[in-house]
Amino acid sequence: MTRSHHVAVITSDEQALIVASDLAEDFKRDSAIRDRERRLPLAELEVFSRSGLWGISVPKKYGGADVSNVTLAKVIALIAQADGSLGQIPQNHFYALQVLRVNGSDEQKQRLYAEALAGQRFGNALAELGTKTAHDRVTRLTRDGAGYRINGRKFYSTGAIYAQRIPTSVVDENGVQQLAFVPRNSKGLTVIDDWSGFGQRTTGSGSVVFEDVYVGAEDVLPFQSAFERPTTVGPLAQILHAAIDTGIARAAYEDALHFVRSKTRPWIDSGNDKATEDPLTLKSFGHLSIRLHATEALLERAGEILDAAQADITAETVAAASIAVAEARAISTETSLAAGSTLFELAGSQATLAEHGLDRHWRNARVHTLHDPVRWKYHAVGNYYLNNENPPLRGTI
Amino acid sequence: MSQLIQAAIDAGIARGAIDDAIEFVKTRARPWIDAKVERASDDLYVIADIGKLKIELHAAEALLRKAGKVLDQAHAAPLTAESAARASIAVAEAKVLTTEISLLASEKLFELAGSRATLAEFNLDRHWRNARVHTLHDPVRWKYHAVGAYRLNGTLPARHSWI
Repeated sequence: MTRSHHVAVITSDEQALIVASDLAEDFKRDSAIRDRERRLPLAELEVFSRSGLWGISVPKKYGGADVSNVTLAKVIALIAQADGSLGQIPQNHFYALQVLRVNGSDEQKQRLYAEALAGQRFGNALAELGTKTAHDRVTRLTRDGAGYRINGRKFYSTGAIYAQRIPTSVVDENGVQQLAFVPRNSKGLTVIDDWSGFGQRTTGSGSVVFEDVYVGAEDVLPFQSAFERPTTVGPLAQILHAAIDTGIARAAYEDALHFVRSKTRPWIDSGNDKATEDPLTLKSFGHLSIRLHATEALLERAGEILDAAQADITAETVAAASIAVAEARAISTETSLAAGSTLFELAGSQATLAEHGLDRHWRNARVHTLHDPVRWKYHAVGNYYLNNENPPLRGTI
Repeated sequence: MSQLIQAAIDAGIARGAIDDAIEFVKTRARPWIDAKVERASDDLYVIADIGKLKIELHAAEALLRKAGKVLDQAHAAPLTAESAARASIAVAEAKVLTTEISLLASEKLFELAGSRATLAEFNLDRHWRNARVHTLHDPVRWKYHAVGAYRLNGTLPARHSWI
């Protein structure tokens, strides 16, 4: 296949969903091999960003389709179903575009949205190891003439290794967090491929080191202020995570169906000729199917409530969106883990052989769902419904 | 007897996973910001989850010990259909709990310990992988059935090496 250098611009929600479905079929093919060999999906990402899918959340005013969050979540779920890592890699790109939407100047929006529409990928350098909590950051931004210098070290930098720009959270000289859209080829910036997580193996979530990296003032956006007033940044970030796990859950479920139909032998006590007639297997699939449909339905519901918040941003609408997304996060965590594990009980020992690569679903679900602890999602939801307490304004809810 | 050994393996895996979870939470995990605590081990939800895991583990180990005694009693006299069934069912009950806790503990470990625990240097996923593969030796759903059939309908369990 000749690789075109043309970057498509998607103009509607329907088109986005069709493109995502087509790409998903493509990405599924070697997903198990990429996981087994930890083969970084460089070629796949080129196709992915040239498809136009990485520009679908760009507002219409700046030339994008501005798809609904329902559609965006569905697109990510479709890709994640095909390959968990490929579903996660764009998460930070869309997160950065959302910070741009709420905090960027018109000049920054014109320039950076145009890059996204031209197929440029944004990664991330936000988290740091060794600080008191996962939210504490020490990477510094110091003035240098008309621009700034960045010094520090990041980890969990999903997508940075594949990106043309790395949105980096930095603390300025007043102690306020900014987001610097650092070009990948900046002097003093080193991306290290040291991600060794046992799941989501090809997300490139390793280290980024900043040694006196220069960044122009035009590439720095306010960041902290996105969480000092109600904005949709938090729930947008989180709905993408929910979408990833929803996709992984469906992948595990579909693989379980396929295996039980084609390879699994009936259990001696079931008295059946076929594994598909085992009544307890049927019950288990019934249960999983219901949970999966509920998960997918809650994802769609979360998208609708987030769309409503985006159209009319208030403390109440943002809180409602955060909570709806938190519900989707909690259930998608439960279902992706359950499907990934129950697959084996239903499919049998044969399913554990390396050639099938079926353990990647649980491994991917387990690693990805740790992005922020699910126990605090139940807390936020319970507190909202019982005590009418709005959740905090953060990127993690 | 074979089933008792299989259950014991899973109980051991569970115990190892819970010990590793406690160690990681106490020494490496960072507290979650919303918990508003100084240490990860002070997070109320983590504390409750460790409590639950320990309770489930102790229940599984208790049933395992009990199953051993029932098996010893069965071997102390000439075996009858009834004494063999009693032993099989006691072991099946233990096996259900050890299957559940080995999978639960090895999976929950990561939610409690956090993302860092997924790195290769710690090799902590081996607990879940070992529990998952080993507990497929015979499907646990048919253990619930065997126990239920015995208790509800007095049906003696099948005589083969998987119960």
